[in-house]
Amino acid sequence: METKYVNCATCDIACQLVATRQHSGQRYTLEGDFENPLAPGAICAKGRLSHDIFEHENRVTQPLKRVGERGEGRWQTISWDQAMDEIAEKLAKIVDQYGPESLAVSSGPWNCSTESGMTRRFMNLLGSPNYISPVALCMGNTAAVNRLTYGWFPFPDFENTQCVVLFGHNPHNQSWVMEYIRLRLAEKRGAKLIVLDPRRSQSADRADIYLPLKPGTDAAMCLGWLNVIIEEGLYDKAFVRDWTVGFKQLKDRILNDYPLEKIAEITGVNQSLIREAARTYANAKGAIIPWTAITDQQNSSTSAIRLQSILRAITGNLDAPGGEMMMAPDTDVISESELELHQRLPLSQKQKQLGFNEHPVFTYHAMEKLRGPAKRVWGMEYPNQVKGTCMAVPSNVFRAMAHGDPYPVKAFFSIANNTLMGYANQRLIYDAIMNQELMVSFEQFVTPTANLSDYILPGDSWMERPNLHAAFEWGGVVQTSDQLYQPAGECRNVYDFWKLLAQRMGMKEHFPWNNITELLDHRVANHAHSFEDFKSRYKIKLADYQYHKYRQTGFATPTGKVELFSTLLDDWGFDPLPYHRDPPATSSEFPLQLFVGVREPQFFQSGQRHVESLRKSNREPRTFLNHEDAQLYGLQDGDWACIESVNGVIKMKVLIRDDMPKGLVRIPHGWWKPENPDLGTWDHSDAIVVADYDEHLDREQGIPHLKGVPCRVYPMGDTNINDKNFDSKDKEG
Amino acid sequence: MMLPRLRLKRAEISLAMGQFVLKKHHNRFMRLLVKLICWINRHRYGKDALDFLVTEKTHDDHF
Repeated sequence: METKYVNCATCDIACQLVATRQHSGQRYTLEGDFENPLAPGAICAKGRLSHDIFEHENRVTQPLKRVGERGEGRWQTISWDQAMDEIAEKLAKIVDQYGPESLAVSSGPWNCSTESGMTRRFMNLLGSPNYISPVALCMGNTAAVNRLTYGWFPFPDFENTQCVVLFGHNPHNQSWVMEYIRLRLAEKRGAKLIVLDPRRSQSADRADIYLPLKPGTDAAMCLGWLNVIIEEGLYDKAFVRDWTVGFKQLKDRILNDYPLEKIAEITGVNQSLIREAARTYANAKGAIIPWTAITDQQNSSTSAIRLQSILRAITGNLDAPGGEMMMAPDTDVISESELELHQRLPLSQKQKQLGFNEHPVFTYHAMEKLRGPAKRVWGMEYPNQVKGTCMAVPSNVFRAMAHGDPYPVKAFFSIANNTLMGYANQRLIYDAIMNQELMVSFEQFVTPTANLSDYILPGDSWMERPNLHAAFEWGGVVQTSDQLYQPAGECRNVYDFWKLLAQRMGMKEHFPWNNITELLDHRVANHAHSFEDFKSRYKIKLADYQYHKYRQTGFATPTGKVELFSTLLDDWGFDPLPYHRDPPATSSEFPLQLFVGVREPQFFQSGQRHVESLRKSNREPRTFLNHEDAQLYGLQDGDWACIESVNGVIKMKVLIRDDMPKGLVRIPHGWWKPENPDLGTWDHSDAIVVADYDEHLDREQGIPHLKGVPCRVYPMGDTNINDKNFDSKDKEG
Repeated sequence: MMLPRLRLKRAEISLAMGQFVLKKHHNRFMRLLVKLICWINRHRYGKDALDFLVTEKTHDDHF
C-alpha cells in the first residue's frame, strides 16, 4: 500500500487528507486523516470527488489564444512560449505607455493559485500596487480590521474553549468540515453555543442561545452585548486598565448612543435574550468568536469586525487559553509575506494603489502605518495575513479599468479567479474587462471570466503539485502536501507563469528557482535540507506558541495597546469608535431583502458546476423563500422566479423553507452553467444584483453590502432578464 | 488564582502533544504512541466521537 499526505485545495479550508493506493498507476483514494488531533477525519464530498473535478473533459490543458471577439468562445491552441512571448510584449508596451500601475491582478489564493507569494513578488518588482482578491470580502478584510485594533488576526482555540459564538456561521459536514469537527468536539466537552442568524440554521437548532437578528445588524448586536458587559462590569478590569486605550470614549458612546432598548429595536431581538447571550459570553472561562464571512460583507463591516475584536479583548479572551490565540508564522519556514517583497515597491507607487485614500483599511495605507509596530512585535514589517492586508479596493479598480478614473488600468490578469462573479456589480466588472488592452486568465476551466480573456494559461490542480500551506499566515500551522500525479497535458504551476513572464520582462534574477519544488526547498532551508526532507518529518508542523505574549511585547498597534479608540481611523478622518449604520433601506419598489451566501454543500464559490456527480443533487440555482412571501408574490415550490434589485435581475428556482424568516430572500453565490452556450453568465450570478453604490459600501473598506440588499421577487413568466441587465440604465448611478 | 494557571498549563501541554502527534515518526514505537494518543483523544468523547459526520446530514443538502 502506498500512502501519501495531501492538503486539499478544492476549497479554502485546507483539510489534510490521506491518499492511498495498492499499485502504482492506479488512482489514489482520498480519505480524512484520523491521526490529525485537531480535526480527525475531516473531508467533504468535494474532496472525495476531486478526481471527478480535475479529470473532467472541460479541463483546459493547453494554452489558448482568443481568435474571435471577446466572449465569443473561439480559441486556438498555442505553445507556452508563444503565449508568454506575446503576453510579455503586450504588457511591456502597456507599462511603457501608462506606467506599471496600469496592471491589475485578481487572485484567489487557493485552487491553482497556492503560489508562495509569487504574484505579489512580480507585481512589486514591476511597480504595480493594484492587486485585488475576493478575500477583500471574505476573511482578508477581517484580518486587516483586526490588525487595526490589536495588530494581529487571532486564531480560535476551540480545543480549550467553553463558549463559541457563531455570527451567521453554519459549519457542517460538507463545508468548513475541519472547523465543524472542532466545534462539535467543543460542544461535546460542554462548551456553550450561541448562534446569531436571521435564518434558523442547523447550528441554530443546536444552540444554547439563538438570536434571530435582522440581516445586517451584527454591529448593533455587538454594541448591545458591550452595553450589558460594561454596565454590569463583566469585563476584565485589569486588562482594560493595562492594555487598552479609549475605554472611556467607548463606554460613553455605548451607554449614551446605544441603550439596550434601541439595540432591541434595530436587531429585532428582545432585550432579555441579548442580555443572556452577553452574560454567557463574558462569564465563560475562555470564549471564542470564530471568523465568519457574515460580518465581512455589510455596509458597517469595519465596525462589526472591530466590535467582535473589542469583545474578545475586554473580556480577557485575547491570547488566553480557550480564547483567541495570536500565533506568529513559523519562523522555520520563509513566509509568503517575506517572499512577496513589499519593501521593494516604492512608497510613491503604494500611494497610487486604487482606494488608498478613499477606503484605506486593507490597503497599503494601513500596512505602512502598522509597519513599525509589526516589526517590533512580530519581527516582520509586512505581515500579509490571509493575503488581505495590503490590497487595492475592488470597486475602485474596476472603475479605473472601465473609465480610466483616476488613471487608466489597461492590463488585467485573473489568476485562478472567476473575477466577473467574485465581486459586486457584474455589469461594471464586465465593462472593465472589455476595456482592457490585455486580459489573461490562469485557469483550470473556461469560466465566464476566462471566456473574456485574450489568453488562457492552463493551471495545475492541487493533486498535481507539491505544496506548503502556512494557514494564510493566520495560525502558526504549516501543512505539507505530496504530489500525486503529473499535471494534465501542458498544465503548469502558477510559479512557472510568473517565472516565464519575469524572464521576459528583465526580472529573471528574482525568480531563480527552476520549479516549484526548488522554491519550496528555499522556503524550508532554515530548518531542513530540502522540502522532501521537511515533508518526511512533518505532515503538519505546529509552531511554538506562548499564551499572553503581548505581556512581553505589547500589541502591534501605534500605541502598543488594544485600540478601542482607533488612532488610525481617527487620523484618516473616519469615526474612531465603532457604530451601527442602517442597511440599505427597503421600499415599496424593493420590499424584500436578499441575503447572499448559502454555502451549498456541493460547491465552493463559483467552482465545480461542471461536475455531474456534484450537480446531480443540485441541478439548478435555488433561492430560499418563506412560504408567506411565496404566497404573497404568486410563487410555488419549483417555480422559476426573478429576483431584482436596483442593480439588476437574476433567475432562480424557488425552494420554500420553514427556516426562512418572512421578508428575507436567500440566494447562493457564484452560479453559472458550463453546459450553456453563453455559460449562463447573465442568468443567475449574485454579482448582478449586488450593488456598489456608496450607501451599499462599507465606508472604511469600500466592500459591498451582501446581507440584506433591497429586492423584489416575481414569477419569471416571459421576462427577458438580459434586456433588463443590459438596458441603457447607467450602472454607475 | 490556581484555576487559571491550571487551565494555562493544560492548554500548553495539549499544544505540545499536538506538535508531537503531527510529526511523521519513523520509529515504530513512536508511531504506536501516536496512534494511542489519537485513540485516547477521540475516545474521551465516547465510543463514537465523530458520529455527527455520518448520522447528521446537512439541511442544505436536500434539494
